[in-house]
Amino acid sequence: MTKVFLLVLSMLCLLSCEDVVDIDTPEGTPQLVIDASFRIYSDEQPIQVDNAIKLSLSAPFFGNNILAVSNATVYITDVTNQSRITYVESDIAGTFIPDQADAFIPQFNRTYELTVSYDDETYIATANLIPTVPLDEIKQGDGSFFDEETEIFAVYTDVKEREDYYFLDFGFNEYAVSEDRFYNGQTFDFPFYYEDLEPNDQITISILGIDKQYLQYAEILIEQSDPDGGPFQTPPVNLRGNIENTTNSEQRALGYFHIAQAYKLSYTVITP
Amino acid sequence: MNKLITTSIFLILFNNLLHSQEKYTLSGTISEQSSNETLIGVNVLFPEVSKGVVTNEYGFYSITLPEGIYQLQISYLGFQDIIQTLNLSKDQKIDFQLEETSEMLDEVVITEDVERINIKNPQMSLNKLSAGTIKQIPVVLGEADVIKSILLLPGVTSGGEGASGFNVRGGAADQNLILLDEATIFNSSHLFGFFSVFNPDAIKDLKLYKGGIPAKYGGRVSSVLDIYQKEGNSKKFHINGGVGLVASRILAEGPIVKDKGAFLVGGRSSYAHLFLPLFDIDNSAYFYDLNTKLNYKINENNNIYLSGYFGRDVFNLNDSFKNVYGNSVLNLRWNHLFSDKLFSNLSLIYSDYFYGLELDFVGFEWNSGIRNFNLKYDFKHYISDGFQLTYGINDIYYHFNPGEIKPNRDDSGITEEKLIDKYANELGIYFDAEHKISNQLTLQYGVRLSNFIRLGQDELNSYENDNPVIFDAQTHNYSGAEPIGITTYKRSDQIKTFTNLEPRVALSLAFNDETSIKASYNRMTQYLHLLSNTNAPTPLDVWTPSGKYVKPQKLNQYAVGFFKSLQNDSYSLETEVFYKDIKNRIDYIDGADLIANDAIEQEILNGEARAYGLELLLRKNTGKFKGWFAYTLSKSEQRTPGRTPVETGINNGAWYNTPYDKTHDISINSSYEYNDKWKFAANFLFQTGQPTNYPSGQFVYQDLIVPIYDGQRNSERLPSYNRLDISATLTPRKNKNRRWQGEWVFSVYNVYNRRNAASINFSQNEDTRRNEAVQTSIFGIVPAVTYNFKF
Repeated sequence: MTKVFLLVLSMLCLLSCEDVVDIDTPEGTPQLVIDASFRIYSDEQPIQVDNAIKLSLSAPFFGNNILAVSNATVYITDVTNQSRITYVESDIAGTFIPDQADAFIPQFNRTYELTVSYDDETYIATANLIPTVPLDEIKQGDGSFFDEETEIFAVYTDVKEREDYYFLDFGFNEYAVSEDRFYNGQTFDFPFYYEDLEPNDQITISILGIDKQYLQYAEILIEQSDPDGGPFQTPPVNLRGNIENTTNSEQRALGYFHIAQAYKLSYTVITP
Repeated sequence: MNKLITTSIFLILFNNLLHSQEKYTLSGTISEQSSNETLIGVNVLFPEVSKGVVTNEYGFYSITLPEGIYQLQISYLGFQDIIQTLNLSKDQKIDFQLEETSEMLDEVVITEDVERINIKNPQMSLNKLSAGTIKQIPVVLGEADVIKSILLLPGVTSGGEGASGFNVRGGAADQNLILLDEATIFNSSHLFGFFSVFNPDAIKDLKLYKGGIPAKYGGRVSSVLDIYQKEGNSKKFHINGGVGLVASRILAEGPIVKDKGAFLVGGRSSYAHLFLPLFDIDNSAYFYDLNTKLNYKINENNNIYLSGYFGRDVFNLNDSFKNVYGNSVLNLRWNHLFSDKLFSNLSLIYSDYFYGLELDFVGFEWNSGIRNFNLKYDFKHYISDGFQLTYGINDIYYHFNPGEIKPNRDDSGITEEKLIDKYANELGIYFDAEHKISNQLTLQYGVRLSNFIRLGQDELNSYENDNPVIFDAQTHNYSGAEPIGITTYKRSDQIKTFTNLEPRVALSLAFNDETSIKASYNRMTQYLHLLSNTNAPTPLDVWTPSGKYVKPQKLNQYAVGFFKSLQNDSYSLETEVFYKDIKNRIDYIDGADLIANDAIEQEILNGEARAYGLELLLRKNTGKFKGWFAYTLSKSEQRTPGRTPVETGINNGAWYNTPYDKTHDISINSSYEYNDKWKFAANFLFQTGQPTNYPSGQFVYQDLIVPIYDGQRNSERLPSYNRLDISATLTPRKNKNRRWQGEWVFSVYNVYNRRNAASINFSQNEDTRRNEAVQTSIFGIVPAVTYNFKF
């Protein structure tokens, strides 16, 4: 809807414009941010597990630096058998990885609990591995709405027996979410419009299995990180993830703990 | 309430008794001499006895006076007065025809009398505009526009340029009852909010009730915009039209049977491809509408009218995105005079709103909409010169289609799904009395009894404790509850019934013929809700009825005003203060999904809204220089507290500004007739910036920079909005004495090219990787030219 509005706007009012303006934004207190979105590429050989946890502090909107958080204790507990995977900070400040390589490959039907202790407060969150389906193929189309756009379809076949929610990573920090409500059990071509792609550029698309709660979180996240202008915006909301502060329930951490089964596929752009 | 009814019945009887002496009734219809177009709001005055009446929406008047010889004066500004001596010795029926005072291109330009205030009438918070005034107001791209015109009145704002709908006294856009020839229009905008659906050529008159709303109207809580289409010229065939930068219009009217029946057909269409050479892709975006009206005078006591409207917006982007939406309306009316004191109108109305979308790149078609059938029977009873009674009944049957999705081609992965249709019936019974107690005091009092039945539908979810929204105390998130069962109803079942009594009271206390104070109270109930979580409604938004989980909105509004007419009505001053509160204003949980949702109750929380303010309108009504100055100081806010002490509600349960809250709103409209060749007009607007949100910080998640919004909702402001528009109208002198009449309108919108902020968004610049605040402004300076013609 917004895209059409912008198009109409550009057709009607050649004088409409965007300006960068100076705004004094209010400054909130820094909050702990826990970025723990795991991807388990189970059909890669060997299984590829992206399970690093990034800790940082929120900053003023026009502040330059996001500060990494190093002095934290991080571990994950497999609730099913109470085994613990300890995380240690890697060479990259604020990025925590399991202390032993390959020590942690999440399994289906188990509940994992993330614990982060920082500044005398303890944060916990739980997650399960959410299944998904592989990408069948990546197709290129010849449609586009604006110039300099390349139409790409991520094709996948939904599982009929399951309520599926998908998170698609198109690279370049471009994400989308989808649910199978209107294509349950069908092969679906998810369209995406890349800007400024050239023939022979290579793109990689990942598909992640997510749950409904994370879909809602990611939807707002995507919208608020790249808002459209104009009168058809929804009021911005305070994004609350699934991380609790057990020491002080009022002082919450930002971010999310989520474990997704994932598949990826690469594609080389052709001349349309 | 019962007391009020008994009192009024007593008063009716009392009046009849008191006046059962020698009294006779003068009645008839007043129309324009050249076209037989009936005139609304013409004064029929008996100056010696200070009595008078105005013509109703169908040009009818009736007045009852003691036997005698009177001076009778029929006056309507822009028309020659009729003054004659009348010997009222029996009931008489006289139809008057008024002649225009001068030859002018635009026959309705001179009817500004309708816009002047009536000092003694208890009706307050009412603004009237004639088609002539609307056409004079400079507008963007030169396209004369009803909605853009009413935005210049006090108490009326919108969600900004390009935003659809309008907001009255801090109310939401879906709280306006928009009537075109009595039929409900569900979406008043073309091309989002750039233009409105009313073709100014086809319109005769409009009234905007912002408060003190008579009992005749119901179903929306903020305002009533009552628009009447022209009936058509039953004397001569005429064509008028215009060619503008955006759209062209043509309207034909003429007699079917001379002096008895007339037709009117008007069409307007924007150009689809005008702007396209600038783009090398195959896109189109256009709108069109068609207005029709037939009227036939069967005999002196019976008139029938058939009116229709059909309008569509069409978008086609590369055949990949196709979007069509719009309203259709059909209305059959029968005016019948039971006696010279009892006027009646029976209307049978169909109206619908359709929204269709085809996304070929995803592979589906979607359509949604609302349909209604409306039966209305209204009576106006001119019981005595000091007592008029309006009463009637109105029944509306609604059919809601929340949406239907279908694959649009064989290889599409989309599966077909139909959302559950909803049905409802809304009944209103009302009476409204206008009662002149003395020369100083006039009362208007009435009551509307509204009844709303949510009828049976195929499936309705049930929830534990009837609670469709659950709150997670840990994460402070609201989310939809899992249904525990599904109930199937027959269409005749009543899922939920609401009955409300809506009293309306108003009074005017006149100190003299020039000065009065007025006060009013009205209670109203709104049973339909537009599901819209955006700052301004979008065409895709669907209407939903009240029912088991959604309660009707209930309003109380109080207003007091001071009214003064100066220098024999050359100037008028209207000041009002108002306060209103609305219960059960729906609000949405964070991340609410409102489209294609069969369980909308899972996304909704119940809140309340309130607004208060001061309005001032100073008008100059006569002379070469005319116009008005309007100022509004107001506050509009809403809140949605948690349902239990644990819950946070929306915005932590605190009051927050509505997206259309504007503290200060000044508009100046002026027109100047330099000579018979040149006319000039100008608007100036100043408004407090719209509420907005600034982030209090940022965080990084999955390499995305995400702004943090944890402050009070809508507590910041965009920069203030202001602009100046001017226009010049050229009527060539060669027009004189020839049939073809042409006129050029040159206009400049936003003369000093101010970049007024429509929104400010916060995000990371993709190239520089720095965080930015980006202001979007919609219209800069826009020059335009329009040519209007008539023959």
